[in-house]
Amino acid sequence: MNRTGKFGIAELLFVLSLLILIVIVALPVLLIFWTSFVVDGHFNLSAVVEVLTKPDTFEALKMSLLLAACVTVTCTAVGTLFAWLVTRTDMPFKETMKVLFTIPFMLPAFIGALAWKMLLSPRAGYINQFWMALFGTRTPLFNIYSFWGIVIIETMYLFPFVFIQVSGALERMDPTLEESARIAGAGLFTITRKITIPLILPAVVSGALLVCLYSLAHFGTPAILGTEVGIYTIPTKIYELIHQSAGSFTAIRAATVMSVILVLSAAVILYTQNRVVKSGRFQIIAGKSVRPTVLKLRGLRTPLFILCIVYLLVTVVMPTVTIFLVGLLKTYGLPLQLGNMTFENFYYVLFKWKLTKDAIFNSLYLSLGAALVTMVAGGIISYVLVKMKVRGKWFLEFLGMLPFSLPGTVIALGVILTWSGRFGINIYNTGWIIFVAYIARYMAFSLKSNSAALEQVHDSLVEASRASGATPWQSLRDVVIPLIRPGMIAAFFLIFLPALRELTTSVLLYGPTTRTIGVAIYTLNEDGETVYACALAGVALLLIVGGEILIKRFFEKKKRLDNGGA
Amino acid sequence: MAEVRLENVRKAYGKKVVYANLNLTIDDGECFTLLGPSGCGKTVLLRMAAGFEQPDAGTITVGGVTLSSPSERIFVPPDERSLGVVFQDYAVWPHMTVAENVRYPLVIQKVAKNEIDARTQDAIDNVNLTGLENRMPYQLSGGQQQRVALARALVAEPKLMLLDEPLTNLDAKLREEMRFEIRALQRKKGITVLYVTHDQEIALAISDRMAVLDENGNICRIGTPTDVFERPGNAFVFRFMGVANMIPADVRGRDIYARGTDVLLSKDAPAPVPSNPVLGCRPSDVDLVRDPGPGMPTARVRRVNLLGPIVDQRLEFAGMELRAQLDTHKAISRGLIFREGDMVGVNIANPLLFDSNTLEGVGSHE
Repeated sequence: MNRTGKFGIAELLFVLSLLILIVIVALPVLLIFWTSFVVDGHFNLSAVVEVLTKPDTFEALKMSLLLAACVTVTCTAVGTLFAWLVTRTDMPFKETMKVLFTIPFMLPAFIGALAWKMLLSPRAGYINQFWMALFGTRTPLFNIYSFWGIVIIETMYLFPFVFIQVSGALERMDPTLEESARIAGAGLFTITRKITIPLILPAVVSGALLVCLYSLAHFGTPAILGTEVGIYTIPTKIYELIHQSAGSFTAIRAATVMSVILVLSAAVILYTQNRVVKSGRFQIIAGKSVRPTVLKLRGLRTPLFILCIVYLLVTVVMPTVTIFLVGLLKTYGLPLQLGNMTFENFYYVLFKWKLTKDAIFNSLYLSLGAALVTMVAGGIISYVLVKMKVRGKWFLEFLGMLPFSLPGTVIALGVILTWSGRFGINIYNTGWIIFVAYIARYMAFSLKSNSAALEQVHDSLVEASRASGATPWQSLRDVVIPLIRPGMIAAFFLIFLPALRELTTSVLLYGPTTRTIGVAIYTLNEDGETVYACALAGVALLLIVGGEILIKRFFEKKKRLDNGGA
Repeated sequence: MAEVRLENVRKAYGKKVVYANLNLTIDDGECFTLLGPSGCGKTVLLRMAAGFEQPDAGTITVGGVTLSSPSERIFVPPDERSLGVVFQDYAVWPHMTVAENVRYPLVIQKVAKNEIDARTQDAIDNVNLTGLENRMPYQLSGGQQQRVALARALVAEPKLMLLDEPLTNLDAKLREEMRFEIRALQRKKGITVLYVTHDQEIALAISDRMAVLDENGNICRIGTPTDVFERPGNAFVFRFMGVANMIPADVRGRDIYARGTDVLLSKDAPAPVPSNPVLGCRPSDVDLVRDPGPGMPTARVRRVNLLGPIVDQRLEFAGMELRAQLDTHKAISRGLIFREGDMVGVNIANPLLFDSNTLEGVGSHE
């Protein structure tokens, strides 16, 4: 019985974690940097500059930055305003509104873009048609195929990033801070300027940076609304390069150089965001549930309430209804009348057409598989990161940070470079390459959720089981895993649902038989199969909303069980 | 048989040496307390005994079996050491009921089902948790959770019980109750107990023998509680064991004077006299006299605090603070509660002499 354990569970898990992160995450990124900077075996910076200064890549870069900047500003304004309205004013139905304002999060932005295309495209858009008929004019009300069109659509679906952060901060803020300022004789304007705004600023900035990051990496909206009129962003440019070049090296290099820009911007944004969040911890008093002072809106109460309702109707209800109505049409372009409607399209995409059937099936098994694998892998890596004392952990920690700053386009490109035969494995054009990409893409979610859960498991709980006679495996099975199970299940859904509607990564990786739901909707729309695109989008929306409701149910039940828990 | 021996144990974290060369024997069946200020490494010692940490050098044996010995490449993991451990934060598994927590060590040992049930019930009864078997930990108070931890540590009848400050998080009344229960259970089962604490009251109350560690992890004194309290050996231990008055002194013959003065503190200097003597005495050894006779040391009363059964009076004496504690009833009946500013006579009983060198490194009393 006397022995010194040398290669035990700790070393095994450590090596396993390293392997997963290196193969799935580090290698693809490394290859992107390598392809960008190394030409013919030599470090070559001028080639990079050359790519960046080419007019079309330069335009895409500029457009991406400009777009991200505008979307960030508008989302911050909209998100902060609504957050303030539902937390600090006497607006009616505040609690319900708070939930409603997070719904746009559930809707994939590219489906929103698709819906708005049908409402506001200059000729065929229903709203524009209605407008032109009403006033007998030939100028449309608004052309959605434009820079501002893209900004508006992205704002509609990304503002919850800011809304959630800011409303949380406003709720947690200790009202005595404001009250004491008021006692000191400060007016409402002074209090807002000197107390409230500085206190919620970290939350605002942190939400804004998330919007910026998301917008930079976002493919769907600019692809649907911009490509048609020659507006390209980095992700859509990369898509075009990869698709039109059929794998030519120049195109791949141009794409990798742009990916490097994306990765670096993402890293800077995330770094800033981390610092802002950290500084915010001091400032927003970690209070319990407190009752903040509420501003009486008086005469503005009803108008502002109506504004909120209209906003929700316009951004959530109208596009969703449009998707379903168009999905029901016999042919795109027919007026939206009951006589022109049929369930045939839904039946066709669900049960008859191989392309869409495949897409649904692909998305389901890829999301399920990726969610399962990523949940477990992330659990193992988090365990090593949070709980173990092993040498060389800093390297693992560094690798563990990587997935957080990898936009979907970058992952797709890296995965192409890694798995198209360079290392003897060629899974290009198969479902496996999408599977591998999803794991890389969603590893960050899994790491976050799992390590948060593991940090709650105090070391002494494990030591207590060891002292009770349990082997490391037994204490893992009986103590650690049962305690982090909610965190793991959360990780599963955090991966499964977004993966189900994923577009940015899959659109670069799909092959003839490996379309995902997102890709199928996108390509059907491109090919002018609008009614089928909408029918499929409708199916996707039902899947997503159903899934969200299921999770909410699960976690509410869990919360109720834990109620009163320490 | 569970005699615990630590021989030539060395443990360091990076450059911080916790133990340079530790030797300690805990007899079979005794309740042994490690008492020391926080950060002195007493928990490290307990964790090495448990097998959560490995010593850098030296050997640890329990009942004659070597459990840790880096030089022989022996390290028995905690699950093979037959231990009961109670942690400061209880470490009761939050996803299991009281009964599930307590029975877990037996389940792991694959004890027969009906025996598990009987022994679990027995352990739960022992710590007075009968009736709470199916509660979840969050439905229990801190004291109840601690008792679950205790029952869980006892249920497998370990040879050795390790307790790491298990009573710190409890309120005073509960602490006393639990202290008594631990002692009673330990006697009943004849288990060897290693108890780690920074609370000298618990150490004095619970131990058969105790060791006092200084901040650097050196063992200053080992002995029975009365031994350690009465003959602390050095100023550190003396101060650590309770409120202490320390007065720098000169010794001439058997007379002790306040240093550099002719104020006679005592005519009864204990031998041997150290080179830099400091007189130490407990506040209860300081008697106050209302009208001091000639030649009697005098002090000015600075503060009077009534603490219930005792009255604590702080005096200014030869430029230092001197504390005197008297039984409240006696003080009242003899008219010995003074007003601030009064001059009083001071009489010191049971003086101890320490070398002022041993005062160095002495932190504030915890």
